Amino acid sequence: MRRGIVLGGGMALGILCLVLVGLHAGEPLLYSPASDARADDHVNPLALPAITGDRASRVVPLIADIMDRPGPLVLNIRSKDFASAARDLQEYRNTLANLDTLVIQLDLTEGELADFRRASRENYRVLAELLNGTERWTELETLEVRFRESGDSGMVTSIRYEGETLKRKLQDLYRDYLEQDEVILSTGEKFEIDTTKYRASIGEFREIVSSISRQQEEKAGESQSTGDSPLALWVSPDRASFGQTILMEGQLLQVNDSSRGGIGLFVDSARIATLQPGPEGSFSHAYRVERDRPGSHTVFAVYDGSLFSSIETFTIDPIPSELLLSPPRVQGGRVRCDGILSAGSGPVRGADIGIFADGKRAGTCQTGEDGSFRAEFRLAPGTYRLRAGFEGEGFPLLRSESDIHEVTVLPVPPVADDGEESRPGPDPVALLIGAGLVCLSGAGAFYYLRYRRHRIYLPDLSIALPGEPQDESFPSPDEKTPSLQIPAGISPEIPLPAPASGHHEMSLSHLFRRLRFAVSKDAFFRYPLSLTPRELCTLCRDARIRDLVCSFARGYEKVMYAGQRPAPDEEDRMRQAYHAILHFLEGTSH
Amino acid sequence: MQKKHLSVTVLAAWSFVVIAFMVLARTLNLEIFFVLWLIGVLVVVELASGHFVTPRHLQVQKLVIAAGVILFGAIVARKVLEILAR
Repeated sequence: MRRGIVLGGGMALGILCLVLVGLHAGEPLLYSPASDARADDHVNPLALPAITGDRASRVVPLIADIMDRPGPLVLNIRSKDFASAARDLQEYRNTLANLDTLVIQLDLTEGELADFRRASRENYRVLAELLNGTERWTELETLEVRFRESGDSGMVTSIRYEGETLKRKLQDLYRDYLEQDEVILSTGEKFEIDTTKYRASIGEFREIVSSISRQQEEKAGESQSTGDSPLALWVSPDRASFGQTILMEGQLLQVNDSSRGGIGLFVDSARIATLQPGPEGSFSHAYRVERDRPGSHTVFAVYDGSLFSSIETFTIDPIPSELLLSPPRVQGGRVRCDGILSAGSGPVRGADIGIFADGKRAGTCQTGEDGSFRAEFRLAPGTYRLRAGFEGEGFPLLRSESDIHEVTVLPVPPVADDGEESRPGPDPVALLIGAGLVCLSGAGAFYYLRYRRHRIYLPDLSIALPGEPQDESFPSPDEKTPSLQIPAGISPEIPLPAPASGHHEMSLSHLFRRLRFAVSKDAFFRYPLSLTPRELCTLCRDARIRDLVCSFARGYEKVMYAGQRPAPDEEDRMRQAYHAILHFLEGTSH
Repeated sequence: MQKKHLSVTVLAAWSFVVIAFMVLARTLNLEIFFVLWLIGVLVVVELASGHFVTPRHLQVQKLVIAAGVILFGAIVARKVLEILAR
């Protein structure tokens, strides 16, 4: 009956497993059109529309989220709630990271989504700088009030100049933000996403920049009324591009020779040089445009920490960059790409270059002093369209891409005529690790089968069989422990229960199991069903019944293991021992 | 209920739980299923076998476990090689 229940339950569980798996058989998870794309030389055109539909359903909510994020962020910046704005910015970053992850998961490559991601990343940069700039503007306002009250005109001028730098920077940021409009809004229209919040963020952004510009112009009007400065500064040319040099010259007037100190030259409120004026008080510095953001920049000079020049400006225009990629070389599954990045007439140093295989990033590298770069990476066997890309981040350069080269990575190493491989074989370290792990698991399996033993320390079992000498450790009747005597009421004439004629072993086995159960229950043995008669005898804690248990065990072993028929007196002794033990342990109810 | 039947029931229930969670997570992975099944078999065999005696069917089961351990090592080695190859 029980067996039937168990078997029925097991079958029901098995059928339930099959039903659960079968429910998903229509939408296979181990082999689906999405995973199929990884297989070489296998294209399933019928699956493509389904994939596109599935991708859109997962991507669109994320795109909508990315479009909505800048709205509250810019609003918080405008209301000067910088803590909330910082949280919004972090969430915006996380959302962009989620989109990047989803693009990798869905195996997306080029297209409008790539432009949207690029525009969103640019927006993130712009908004992060807007937050920092606005925060700094608020700090400058506080500092200006403090220094004006203390009468430190030098610091007030310094703060105003930094404010001018900030104003121009924020204006450039606003222009950058507007430049992303086309891509962002067209993506929104394509996926039918509400772009109201994004449009509102543009208005808020404009209000922030207008407010700061207005305040800065009021301050500039006040400072112009203070008169001309004895420290003159000229910047030429006022427009430059990557690789060009801007000459910053000046003249220090009405200052005694003895008091002459250093002249600090500041670009965007950051000191770029400390100059010593010549005999006539003139000074000059050649500034090479390399890692400056495109847009308007400010320059001013400070003499002796207190005498400020007028603030001058120059503009850096972005120019195209040129990325050349030599035909890649394939060797042993590894691809080596060499190339050079230049802009104008000179090389671009320290720029990040990405190498893309079939639109997916396969490797990255950085250009050297001469603008050259080299990237090595491993590709799975197959044919790829490789190109290099430069995003232009950190340089006043436009992004550029190289020509596309098609390469084929062979799956099997070519073998020379003499039988030797012409390329290095598999990585020996990897092979060694793999072989070591397999050997380790084999050793573990061997250990599990052969040497693993339960560490149980049993007392020395030395029950003497009939005819064997009695061991000293065997509990003897003359030990001091009081031994249980067979009660007077138990007569040897009481028959053994259910002794089926001709089946001594079966009846004795039944008695032994009964006895073992009773003794183990009384002594709390852990695994009573596994105890042999000798073990039961030796482990018996209650010395009062131990002699009786051992006496029964001796007789039991004679019949069960030696195959002897018990003598009449032996049978009486076992019967008496059995009843005495049960009488002692369970009372008369047994 | 005998230990043998109890072991089979527990192992079937464990396999069911593993498959159910995999289906719910929409990731049916044979390697993960094998490793979890092996863990279940190990636990069941260790609990079912006594300290003093091991039933014959569990002795055979230990051979299965030893083969599973070797297979497990091969799976780990393959994964390590995959990671190193990237």
